[in-house]
Amino acid sequence: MSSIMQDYRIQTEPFYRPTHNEIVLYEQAYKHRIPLMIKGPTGCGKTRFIEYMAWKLNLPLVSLACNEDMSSSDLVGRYLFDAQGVTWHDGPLTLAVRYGGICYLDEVVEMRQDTTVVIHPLTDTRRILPLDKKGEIVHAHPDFQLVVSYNPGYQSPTKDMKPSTRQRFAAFEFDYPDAAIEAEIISHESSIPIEIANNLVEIAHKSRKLKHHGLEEGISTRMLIYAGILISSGIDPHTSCDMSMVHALTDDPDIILALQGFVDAYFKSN
Amino acid sequence: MSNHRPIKLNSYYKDFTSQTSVNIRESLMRPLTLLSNGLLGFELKLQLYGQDNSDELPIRPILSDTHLFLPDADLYTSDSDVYLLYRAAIAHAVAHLRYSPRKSFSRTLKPMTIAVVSAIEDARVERLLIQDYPGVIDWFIEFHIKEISCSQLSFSSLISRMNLALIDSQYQDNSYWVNKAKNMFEAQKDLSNYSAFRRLGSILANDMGQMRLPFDPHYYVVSPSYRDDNSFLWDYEDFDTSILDKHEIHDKNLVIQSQQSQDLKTEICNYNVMAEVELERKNYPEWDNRLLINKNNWCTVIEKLFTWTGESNFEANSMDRSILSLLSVSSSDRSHRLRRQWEGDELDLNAAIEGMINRQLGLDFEPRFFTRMKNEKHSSSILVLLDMSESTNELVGNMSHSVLSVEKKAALLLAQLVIHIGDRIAIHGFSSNTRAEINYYRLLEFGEPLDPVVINKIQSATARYSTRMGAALRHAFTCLRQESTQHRAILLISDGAPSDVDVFFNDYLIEDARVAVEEVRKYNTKVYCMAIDSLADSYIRTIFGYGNYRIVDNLQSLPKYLLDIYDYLKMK
Repeated sequence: MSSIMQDYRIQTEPFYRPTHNEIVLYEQAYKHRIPLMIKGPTGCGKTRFIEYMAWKLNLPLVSLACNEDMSSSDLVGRYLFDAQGVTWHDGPLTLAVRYGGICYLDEVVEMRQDTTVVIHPLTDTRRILPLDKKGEIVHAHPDFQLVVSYNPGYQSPTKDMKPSTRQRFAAFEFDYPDAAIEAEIISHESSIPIEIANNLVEIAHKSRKLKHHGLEEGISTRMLIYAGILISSGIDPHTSCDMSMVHALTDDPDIILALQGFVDAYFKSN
Repeated sequence: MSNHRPIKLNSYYKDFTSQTSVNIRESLMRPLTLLSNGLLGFELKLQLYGQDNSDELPIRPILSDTHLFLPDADLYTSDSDVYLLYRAAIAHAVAHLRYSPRKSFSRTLKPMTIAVVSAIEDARVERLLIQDYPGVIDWFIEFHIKEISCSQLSFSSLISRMNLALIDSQYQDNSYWVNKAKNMFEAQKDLSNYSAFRRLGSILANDMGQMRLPFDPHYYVVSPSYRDDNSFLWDYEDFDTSILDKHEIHDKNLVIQSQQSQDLKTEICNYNVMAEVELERKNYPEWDNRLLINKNNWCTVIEKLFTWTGESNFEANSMDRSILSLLSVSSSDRSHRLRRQWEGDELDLNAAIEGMINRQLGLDFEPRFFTRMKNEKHSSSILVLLDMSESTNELVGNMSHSVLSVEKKAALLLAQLVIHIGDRIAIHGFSSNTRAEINYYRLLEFGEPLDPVVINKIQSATARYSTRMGAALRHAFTCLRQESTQHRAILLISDGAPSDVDVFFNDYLIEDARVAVEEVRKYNTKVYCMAIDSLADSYIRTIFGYGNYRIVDNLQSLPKYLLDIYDYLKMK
């Protein structure tokens, strides 16, 4: 059994720089197997945090990026043909429920609300997953925990979770780290000097203020790391920022000019 | 020194402006405003101002605590140069706003001293800004190099050479005075010590005086061209030329502006002699947030027939096609895929596999193995409610459009879109003059075609009085209730907070509007607000709730915003 989950284990420690006491809070939530919801803007470290916690708690991590075409079969599994006829194949959620581990549903609000309800019996005291088609009820492994994440910022108003789904979770609200910590993360992840990382963070802060003024999201920590990686591999800062931050973020020519203005303000030309 | 990144203004603005005659400088105001607000951390209004007579001296930017007026004069400068000029002017303004003392006493100073001290102050604050934003040195330096005048020994020449020497460490000059200025400036370690630099300026001005170079304040312009005229720094109280006072400058411009808009209004009013015919009166309650009661029959909504004389100059054919072009890529397509059908265009693979499996397992199954597209018709009704209060006559941000004209444009674009798709839309407008008179106009009715007559009617709507939002929303809902479509929604397009002349508490009408929105939502009707005011965030959120409003500060994106809003409004 353990070999099935071996691929889902995280072998090396992922870099994660805590910003508050989220590690302790997570550990406590896990101790009681409370399902968790992680909200936060894109690229602020939600997925990295879960990877880190899975590594720290020595648990397999089954991740699934949700989309609106997903059906409950994509979560729990389905019968498929093979040489013998038809065989049941566990879906990712069933795998984690059966053998233990964290099941991480990324961008959960993308999933249709009627699909999301399959997690209901798992996320209360019952901790069971009925497989209707197979006629089986899977009792959750003691190590099983469900974690979902989404970005409340740019989700369209049409996409939201039902109250009955939401209320099953305890929530973490993530945001981009404070400037000093964010610069430290970028410097670490992309091996650039802290001064350059500081400049990148300042640019990002200015872009984040443009939210609601033409941008749906500002420049994320992930984008800054990409910019840092390009800079550390010898590409000049203006081009790196253009590639990884400015043009990646928007097509609006006004915003592009403004963002390039921020970049030019922080980096001298050669 | 050339800028590292080529500025690709032309290609951008050719593509993104719908009219060819659009003033590129005006369309630069938005990105520049975003830039200046970002660099500054708070809002600085940018505005273009022109020169009446081209024989006069070149004009310079003018800075106040709230506005930066940028010269729109030099017609020989190319568009990308204009961008670079404005960008440098903004950075310089940010430096002043961050680091300069305001309105120093100038009575006892000679004009030449003021000029020298100002130049030193310009250099000091720029250097402080460069510590914050290392890249801006490139923005400044190229103007110094380009505009330096070395040809003659004059006051202007020496000042421009000193300016360059203070910003460019590579620059060498053979003037004793310039070098003295440079050495003294560099010797000051603490850039934040204004008074030390002020003394330095006086010493240099004194030296300059002894050189007996002619200086005529009437013919002196600050160099280089991105720097403001320094009226920000000085209090010229003893000069009677009040034009140099920042408030006066500010007010003067506003006076001109409001005069123009006043003229425009009078013109419009003469043009449309309103003969209003009353159609119907209806009373509505109003929520009193102090007494926590609904005051019954408190407000009277008067529906009036909107009549206008004269034709608007708006051509129906010239309607913006941008929104229709967006349609091809939008999700507004009413058709959707039906799965597990008995018959259809394509195989539903999941259903087919499942069916085969059930057959193998010996279970019952239905051979519904197909998918097909289905179109829905007329599933939603949207009522667009326009705020037609006096304040919508004001101009939007830095643009030359009034709020009302943006409201009309948005409403017409949305109507065009909705009718094209096959849904139902109405456009109504309101303004209020105390609780006894909430005027309500039906500009476009549900089911009415958007013909040139209606378009002209909407275009000629004028703004007056106040914004009693709650009563108007309640009446709009009364109109909308008669629609029997599946989804109903009200879209309010407004510029600001509710207000009326008989209400003295700021939050009273905000709370009433919030309650009205809640009441309407109980009937499974969406209420969304599009606010044309970048400062509207706080109270709009109170009234409409998180995720139910959008602030529009960019006309170019208006079609896209409308499409998003429509996508939202027509959903379940």
